[in-house]
Amino acid sequence: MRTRVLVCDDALFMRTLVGDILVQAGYDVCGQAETGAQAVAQYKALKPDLVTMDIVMPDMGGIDAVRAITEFDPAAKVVMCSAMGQQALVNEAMQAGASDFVVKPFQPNRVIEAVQRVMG
Amino acid sequence: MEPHRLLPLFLAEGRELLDRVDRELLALEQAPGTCAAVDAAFRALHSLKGMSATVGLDEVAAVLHAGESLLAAARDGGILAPDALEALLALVESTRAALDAAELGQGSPPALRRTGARLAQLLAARAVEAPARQTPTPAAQRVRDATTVGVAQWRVEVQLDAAAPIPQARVTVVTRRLASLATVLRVTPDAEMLADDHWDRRFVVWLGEGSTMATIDAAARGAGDVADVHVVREVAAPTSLLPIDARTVRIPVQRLDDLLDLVGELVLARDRLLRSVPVTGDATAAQALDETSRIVMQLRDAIVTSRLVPLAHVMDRFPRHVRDVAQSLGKEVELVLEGRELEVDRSLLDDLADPLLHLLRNAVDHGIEAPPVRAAAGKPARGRLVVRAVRDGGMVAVTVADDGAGVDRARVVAAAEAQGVIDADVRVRDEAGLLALLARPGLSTAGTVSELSGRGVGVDVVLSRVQALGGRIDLATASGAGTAITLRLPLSVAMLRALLVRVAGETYAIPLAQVHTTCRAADASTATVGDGWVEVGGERLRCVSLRTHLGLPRSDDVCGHLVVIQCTTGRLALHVDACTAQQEIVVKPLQRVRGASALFSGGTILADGTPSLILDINPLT
Repeated sequence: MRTRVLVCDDALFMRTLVGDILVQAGYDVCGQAETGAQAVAQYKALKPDLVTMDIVMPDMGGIDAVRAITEFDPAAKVVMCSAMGQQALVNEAMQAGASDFVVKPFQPNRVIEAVQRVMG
Repeated sequence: MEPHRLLPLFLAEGRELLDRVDRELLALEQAPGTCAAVDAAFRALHSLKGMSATVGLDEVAAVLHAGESLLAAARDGGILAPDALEALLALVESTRAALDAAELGQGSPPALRRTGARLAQLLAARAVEAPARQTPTPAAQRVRDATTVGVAQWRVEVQLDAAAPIPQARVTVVTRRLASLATVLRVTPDAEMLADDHWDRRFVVWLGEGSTMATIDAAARGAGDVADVHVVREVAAPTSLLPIDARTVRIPVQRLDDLLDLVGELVLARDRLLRSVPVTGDATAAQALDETSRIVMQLRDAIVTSRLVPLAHVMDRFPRHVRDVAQSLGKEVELVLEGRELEVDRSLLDDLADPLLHLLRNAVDHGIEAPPVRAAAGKPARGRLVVRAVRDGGMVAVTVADDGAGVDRARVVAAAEAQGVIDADVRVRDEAGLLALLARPGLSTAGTVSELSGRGVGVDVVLSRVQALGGRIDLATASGAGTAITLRLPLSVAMLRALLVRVAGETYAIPLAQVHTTCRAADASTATVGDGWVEVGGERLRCVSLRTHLGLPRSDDVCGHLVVIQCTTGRLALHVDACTAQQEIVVKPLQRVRGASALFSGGTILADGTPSLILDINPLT
């Protein structure tokens, strides 16, 4: 069975970009979310194998979403997607329970490597 | 139980950590919700917990753990409630007491148990209120709990790619992967260092029992952005002590004292050489001596510098102290610290702490008025207390200034007269005189004896401590506007400038800081100078003959000099045969022999090689 991924980003462009990278590598993008709150709701509804999470999003940011998701499912696997210059936020997200992170601008191979690492 | 080999190091570092917790908690009290302060306090408590467990102070570790949990609630987004803050401050206090007890080989004090009970109570209440807050994310919790105690089995050295983005977060990824294999005991460098841009992207994770070298290696390498991994089997190493930066070395103060002593001797030997070589007229020797001389002085400067520590070590204790005093008196005080970074000799630091704490307590107790009184006087309800440290030549001057009521001159004089401390005809003409009165042991002007001051331990104690160190105190006060007391101490107590005087063919040294003026006895406006009174510069001074003071026969054929000395009870004139020179001297403490005379505070070897005694001013007064 293919790995099911929930892609969370407030920009459609980024969701599409990440989605394409994942699909081309053989993953199944099972859902998308454009706010943190949506991400949490979608996670609970879809039970994906993996989440890619933007940090800065309206209506609950990515870090709080990670917190809510890992609280709901301690085994949840979340890869943070960050822009350059967000070191502190990434650190916080890692403390909050994220599993790994990639830094924009995204290189397809780095995204896939991160996903593979997390999926073990 | 045998004390831990590293107990002294543990105690020194532990106390520093407690000071840091204190500082951060106060910052938190000023600005609730400051994440940086919570984090810093948390880290310090956490480190100390691990250290305490390592040296076998399990009870301390357990109580610190409770404190850490309470703080974790704030760290994970909650606000630290006032009762929690209070309990944490109490935790610092009782832990300090526990460290003191451990130093003496005693068990933990009862206060620690009380604090533990209080923390447990608060934690229980909080768990009911907000269960979610009490449970940090499982993964983070795993890593955090893992860093407590244990014996490392594996040392995993990891080098990240030079190009790795956000390396600090990568450390978390690596650590978390390793945590799934074995208990993570410690990660170095700590978070602060990791956040530094100059960090070389190397870090070390210590793991406990379990797993194999190959598995650990693979897990670390697979964490992304990892350039190299080196897994080493660790042989029972102490794990939870703070990482000791290899670029700094902790040295017992005694060794630095010895070094300074030796270099002082070297300087004196050089001086003797400098005197004798020109006599021989050997040019080569003179040149070599010149060079040696320069290096000796550089060496001395280097050693003196190596003993310097920032005043922050003492001053950072003040906010807590002032807060506690102000709170117990129902006063509002804003404390301003200036010159924390100023460096002074290590030996001064301890000696400076008590007098300054005393002055601060006095300022809050007697200086700064209660809020209603201040309001009535048109002042802001919140008093302002400034501690300012500045370099003043070879001295450090620390001023404690408040904007309180000032010293009531008339009341002090009246009290002194009423208690028979001074004769009614003695005029208190200046601040020095007022200070001298305040410093009279037993003089009490406080209307009621408060819990804090007025128990007979007063300015006199501060004054004698400072003078014993070769320093002096100045007072400035204005009724209704406040009081400023300035302590001046030599930057280095092991070396000081002294005035050399001769009496009956012997040379004695007087610390220059205590010398006000000198003059020829012939210029003093009293015909016969002896034990009695003289007038110098329009001021009537008590005059003491050093000959008499030292028990030597009087001599009337020497007119001699007067040295006006600033001492506890004001100024007095000391009659000597001659003032001969000013010189830098190395103070050698005298071994006190029971029953021996307490005329001298130390000894020294003068530049010409003759030994000389340093006069103790206090018995003169």
